[in-house]
Amino acid sequence: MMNMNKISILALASLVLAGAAFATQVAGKQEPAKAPEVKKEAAAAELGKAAPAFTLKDLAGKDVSLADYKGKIVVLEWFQPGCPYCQKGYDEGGNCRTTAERLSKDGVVYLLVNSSNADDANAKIDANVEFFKSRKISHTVLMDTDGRVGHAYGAKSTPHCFVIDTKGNLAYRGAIDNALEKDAKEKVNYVANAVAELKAGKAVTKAETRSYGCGVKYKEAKP
Amino acid sequence: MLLALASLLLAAASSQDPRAGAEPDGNKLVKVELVSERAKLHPGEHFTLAAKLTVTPRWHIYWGENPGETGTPTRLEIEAPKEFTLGAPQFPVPQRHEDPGPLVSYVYEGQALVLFDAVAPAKLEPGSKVRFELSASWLVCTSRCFQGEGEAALELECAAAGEPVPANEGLFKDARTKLPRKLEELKKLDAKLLGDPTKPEACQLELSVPGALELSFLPAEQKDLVFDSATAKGSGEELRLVLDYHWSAPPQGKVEFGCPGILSVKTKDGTASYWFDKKFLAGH
Repeated sequence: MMNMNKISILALASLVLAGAAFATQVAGKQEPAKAPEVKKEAAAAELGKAAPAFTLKDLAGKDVSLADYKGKIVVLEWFQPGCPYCQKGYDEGGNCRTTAERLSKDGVVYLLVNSSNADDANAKIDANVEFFKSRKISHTVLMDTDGRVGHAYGAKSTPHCFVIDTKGNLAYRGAIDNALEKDAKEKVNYVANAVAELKAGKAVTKAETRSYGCGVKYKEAKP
Repeated sequence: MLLALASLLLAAASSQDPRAGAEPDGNKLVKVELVSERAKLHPGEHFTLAAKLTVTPRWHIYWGENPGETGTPTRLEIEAPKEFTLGAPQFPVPQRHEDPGPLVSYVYEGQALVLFDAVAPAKLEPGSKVRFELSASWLVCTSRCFQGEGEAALELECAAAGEPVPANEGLFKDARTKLPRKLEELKKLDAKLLGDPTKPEACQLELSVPGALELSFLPAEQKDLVFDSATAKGSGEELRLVLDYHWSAPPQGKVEFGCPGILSVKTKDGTASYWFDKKFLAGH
């Protein structure tokens, strides 16, 4: 139950915030609108078609574009630091960590995308930095707080993976592996298999699976 | 300045939260029990066990047949002495839950009883006890998610042949009202495939029920066939529900397939839900 002290502090904070907003409006000094993180309008992702282009900022604020990796196989893995599947996935020996390390060594570009809305704790830069620092590993995390890229790809959960071939076409979308499939008899890493088939010049046999994990924490309204 | 003061006050408020710093334990957010509809078991008797899952208020767990666009299915397994026959878990009709995105999932809040039909062997030693063990795993969420798992066990005494000895009657009666009904109970269903189901981009199913005011569908997970959408079209006698699927791996040769899920039908008498298990043929 919320105690009265907390209620009064929250009420006071709300009043102060309301006052601040009013003062800003009266003075006509609105904060400048944040620059959109996706500079190019992304199109809906379809298997076998061009993967939606994007430019997003990494945790250091540097622009990263899909176009930077033309001619390479790119894996996009949706991520949020507060999700237990990402936490276990990036612990020592975890499925995400081993997949990312293995594929990166093999010349694949492995990017994590965080589409949590700006109000969510998962969108805090510090939380994302600390996630990898505490695990003594380094990965590129791209921030998509308005969810534009997440919606363009149809990302629903964390982890939710997308493999883009060397021609820039979407070749796989779905789960990283079959860990949660009912009656799965042996472990299958769908992302690693898709990459292996692409490297061998073959079409991806299993181009689509159902992803699993925590829901992406999108903001209320679509951008 | 004012914004800074507000931030400080909000921070102070959150630090007063008695739960601050204490990470919820996914194992404790759901209570797991194993209950039986019989107090004693007789040789050859048909009976039902239930996994009783009690979810902490404001949290939810996911439907075992398909969590929806997010989440992970609740998994339940009962281990019984090998002479016993155990059926598949029968999940109650879940609630539709929508998160921003929108991301739709199928969930349980509060209490959910998942039933398992069972048959006792023809020979049972009167006075002996049999033990059943339930293991469960889940993802439990509010605005955050935690994985959890739990176990429960139940011992039942065996008796010589005789009248059934009921237990938990009210609980099981109520649980059965929450299960989807058998499709045979829906007398006037018309279900037909539209177009050519062999084409990877097209697998459409049209459902109509005379007298229905509303139709809705919760898809169960289906290997190689991906559910895209359920769209109600027309109204009155023309009302129909079109289910759109696509093949993630197109059928090789002629194959029988299903589009399992829960079909809910609203009529002037109320809403009833049915387990849709019709089979269709695809391929050449």
